[in-house]
Amino acid sequence: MKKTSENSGTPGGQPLLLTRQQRRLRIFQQWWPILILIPLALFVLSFTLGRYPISLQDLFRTIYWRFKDPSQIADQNMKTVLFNVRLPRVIVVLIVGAGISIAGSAYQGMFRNPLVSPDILGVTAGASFGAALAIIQSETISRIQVTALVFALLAVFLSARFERFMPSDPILALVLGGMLVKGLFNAGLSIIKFLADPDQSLPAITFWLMGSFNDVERKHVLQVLIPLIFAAAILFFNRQKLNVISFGEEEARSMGVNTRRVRFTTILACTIITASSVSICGQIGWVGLVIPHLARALAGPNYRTLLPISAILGSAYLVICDTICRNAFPVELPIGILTSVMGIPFFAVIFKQRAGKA
Amino acid sequence: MKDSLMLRPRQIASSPLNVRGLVSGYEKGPDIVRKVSLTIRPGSFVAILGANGCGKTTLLKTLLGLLPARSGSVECGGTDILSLDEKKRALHLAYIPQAHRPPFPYKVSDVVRMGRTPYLGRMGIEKQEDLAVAHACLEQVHMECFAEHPYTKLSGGQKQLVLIARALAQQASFLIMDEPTTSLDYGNQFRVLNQIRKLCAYGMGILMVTHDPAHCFHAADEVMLMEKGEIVKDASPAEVMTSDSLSGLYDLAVHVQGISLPHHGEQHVCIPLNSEKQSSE
Repeated sequence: MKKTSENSGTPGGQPLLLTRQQRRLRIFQQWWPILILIPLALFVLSFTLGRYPISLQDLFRTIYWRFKDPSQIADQNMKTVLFNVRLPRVIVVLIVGAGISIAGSAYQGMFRNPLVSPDILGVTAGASFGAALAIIQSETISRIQVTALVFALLAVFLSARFERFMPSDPILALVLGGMLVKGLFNAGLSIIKFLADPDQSLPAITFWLMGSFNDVERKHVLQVLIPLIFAAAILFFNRQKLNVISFGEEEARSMGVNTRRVRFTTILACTIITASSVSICGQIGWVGLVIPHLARALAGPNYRTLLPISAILGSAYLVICDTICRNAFPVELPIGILTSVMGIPFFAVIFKQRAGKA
Repeated sequence: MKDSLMLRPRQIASSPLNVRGLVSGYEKGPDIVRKVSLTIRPGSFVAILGANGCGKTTLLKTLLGLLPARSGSVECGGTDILSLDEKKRALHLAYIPQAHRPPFPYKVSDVVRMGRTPYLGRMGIEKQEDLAVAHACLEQVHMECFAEHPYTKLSGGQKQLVLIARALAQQASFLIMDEPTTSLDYGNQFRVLNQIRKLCAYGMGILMVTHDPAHCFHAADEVMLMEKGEIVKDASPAEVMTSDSLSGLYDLAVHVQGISLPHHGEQHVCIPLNSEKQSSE
């Protein structure tokens, strides 16, 4: 880069032309709301596909009559499949994908590290332990979900307590706290698996850990939607503070940000989202790590655009994954397996491209 | 410049920043800053010189509220700065750190807009005024043509100017700087100093920690020497920085020479002496 001209008297010098990448970033920064069409289209598409295929025409006709005059629907089977099974499932998948992705993007800024996932404070480890605990006691599905939620919250609470141990570097303290708590709950999970009945509970635990949207019912829609709206609003209101906090503790505080409060609200919001998701559908790895990277590659790191784009792409991605899980194999594939299998090469590609440009 | 009014700090700033008997240190350790008293008047450029570990950075951190004070007061126009929360303190004091690489490639304009954080409401909505101020601040440091570029790809001097613009956007009355010219090349060091110097004209008070006596001669109105957590000398650069005082401060033979240049008046140079060739005692 050519520096300085005598007249300007600054290190600014000649203006550089925008590169292609920068022009692309600008286009996405202005036009990103259009991206919302992707999950909408996938939503309709995913709706028609499944064990019980429904044509687009039947789909729209059934939805029309559902509101106009339910007695006109000839095929009551289709009505049940649509409104009690498939619709809640696809909506929950959309919400969970969006939620995990914005939680991941918020954590990456707060921890000042692009390799952080929403799991960092042990939310999944806690949920897994809780679910396993309920499974060996042969509890019902909803009791398993409640226990998973309670232990997910407990795990994050314990990790967050470590912040006080090291006032000079609270971020490091949180990371260490997360590692310790994860280790603890994973050990607990191993004990439960070891003691579990190998014919009944052990396979159930293993299946739960792989993640699935198979048990989703209508009531779950609100159980994930309300936490998502609440937490997404908190994070979006704090978008500029999340930007500032990624420059470091001292700079953020000198720019008028109460870093402790922002950390607290961010952890609270992300935990509400991930705990409510993970307790319903089990472990879904890599989405919260991969999607924020993709969103950042498209429109830059500013949380003003990063949060909505992460949500849009995350929901689209998870709907794709879930649709494949439901349709590709004679038996439904646990979604956690697919998100890992797809996420890792995806991540490698994004990472390689970004590393080349940095 | 038409936008110069925008750069003027709002709170000011007819009253100086008064620091009285400030004591602070880390956690349970000993006092690092011991009974420091100083005054920064609006529109003046104050530099602090001192050896490594004498407590300069600790002093700045305490002023900025990043470290709790053990005793003493920081006051400006009747307001106790130390008791304010981050948001209100940011309206009085802005901080320019050494440029470093943040983990994400923010645009230059985004970085400058971060300086407007203390003015945002609960919903975090930026007003037109915030954008206008941020843009005017970027123009002030002549970096407006880089607005759309990623901050992470700028050179060290450019990054430092962006950080100055960010601090300006905060519209605080006083700027506090921790060695802003370290790791810049020779030319950029003085260009950055000149930019900072210009800010005094808008009525900003500036406190800068530096390691280079030449920077003090070049830009400062007032120089303080810091030794073992105390301010030992405080006056104009030529009075404070003599051969004797600098030799004592750095424990190194130093010679300060005044030179009269045509068109530039009386200037000072500071020369470290080779102790092997010339025994100091």
